[in-house]
Amino acid sequence: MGESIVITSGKGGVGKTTTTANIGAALAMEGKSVCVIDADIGLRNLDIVLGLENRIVYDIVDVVTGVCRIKQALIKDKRFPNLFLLPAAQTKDKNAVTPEQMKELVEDLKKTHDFILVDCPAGIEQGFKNAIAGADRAIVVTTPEVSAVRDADRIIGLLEASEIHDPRLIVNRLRVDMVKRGDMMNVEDITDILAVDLIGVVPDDEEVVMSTNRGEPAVFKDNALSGMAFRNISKRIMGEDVEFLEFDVQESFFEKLKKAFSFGK
Amino acid sequence: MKMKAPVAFKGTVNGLYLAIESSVDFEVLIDHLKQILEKSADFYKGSNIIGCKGQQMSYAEKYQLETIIQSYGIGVDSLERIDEPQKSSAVLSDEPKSIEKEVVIEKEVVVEKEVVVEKEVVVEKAVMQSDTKFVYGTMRSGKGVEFSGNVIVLGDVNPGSEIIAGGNVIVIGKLLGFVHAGAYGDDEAFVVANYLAPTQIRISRYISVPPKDENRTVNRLTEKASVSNGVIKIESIH
Repeated sequence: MGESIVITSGKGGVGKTTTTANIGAALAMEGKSVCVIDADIGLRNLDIVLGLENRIVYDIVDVVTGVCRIKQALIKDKRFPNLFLLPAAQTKDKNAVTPEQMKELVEDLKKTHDFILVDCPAGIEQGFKNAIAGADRAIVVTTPEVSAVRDADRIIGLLEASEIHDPRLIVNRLRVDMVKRGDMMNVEDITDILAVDLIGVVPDDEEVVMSTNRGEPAVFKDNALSGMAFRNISKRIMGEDVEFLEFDVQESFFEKLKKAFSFGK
Repeated sequence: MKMKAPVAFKGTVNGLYLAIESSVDFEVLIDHLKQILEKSADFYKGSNIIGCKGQQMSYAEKYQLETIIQSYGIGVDSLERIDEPQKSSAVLSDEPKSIEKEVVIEKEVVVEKEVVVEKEVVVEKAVMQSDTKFVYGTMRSGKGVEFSGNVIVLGDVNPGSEIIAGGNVIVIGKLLGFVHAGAYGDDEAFVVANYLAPTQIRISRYISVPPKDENRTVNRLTEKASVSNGVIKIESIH
């Protein structure tokens, strides 16, 4: 029996889809059987980020309406035999699926996969309600902006109201240089307001943009810092205790140098 | 017996007031009001509403009533309650006590005069204590609490959430959201929080926006906001 996790944020554009794709790929790399569901019906993106757009035959609406079986709609990622995508429908809207249908679908998928990741659409309406319907756990993605944090706060409240307790937080697109200058909220500011446990911090990385456009999740890149962050998050999801990444590599090097000099004196 | 109308216009020397039956559903009240106005708006045209008696209403409800009444060409000076002396205003506090209290006093008068005063205080205290709503846990963005008495929050009040209380507001945690104490016109109401930095603070009809002070995070003192001389003042309670 697997575990279902919804990835949500409230605000749009903070990186839910990218996060879903990367965590899904990272979990698959760890040998887990993973199914990622795109719940953003009408605005499907997850297939593009994963580079599986041209292989869609059936979608989630076809599955819940009984046009096809779940197995027929699942797209297998060739790079990882453990990673499956259930794409959203593009020509329908959020009302094409009900929370009950979603719940049933996720329950079915849990029988055959270790992890079900649901990519939640932005907003708090029908699409959100559908996406969280079958979720056991939730990961809330936010960026270090007051508007994104405010929306994340609202989302955490709504999740609690829907009996999904103890969500985990990902702070995405953190710019270390700006935080150092005091021009950006730091991670402590965010966790102070949201009061939920952090599961990962992902730095702002050009690599993510490039890999997203290519349809290859950043976790494939061994040297990308963001990819490493996502790999660590997936390990934490599996229950491993992984240290948080130190992003200020350059700074600490200089500091070491400074220290070395001061010792010399 | 004929049932009492949920709402009626009544006249006084100073002008008209709305007599609202207590425990009437607000929707029913609105419906009935519209009916009256449809029938006899011309009769009341040109006069002013100076207040209302009976049921307590929230600001939102008062606003709704005001809009409806004004749309029929009747002026609205105020929809504040005029039947009960407000604890807050010093001018009115010498007026006779409300009916319930009088009943209590009358009963006791028979027994002994000395006890009367004490009893009254006890009744008042009991009412104040029972009239409190506790909110457990953090109030997140989008959560709202509206209560006619005091509100005590055991947790943080995050930005984007709002508290509207008829009485005082106490937050055992950080108060960063919107807060309105004494929302039905109690100038004596106050707001206390371990860390007081609301987005906007209202007490009775006074509105204030706390200054943005970056250094304040350092000294987290429990502070109290209350109205003095017509402005909302914030002071440490220690």
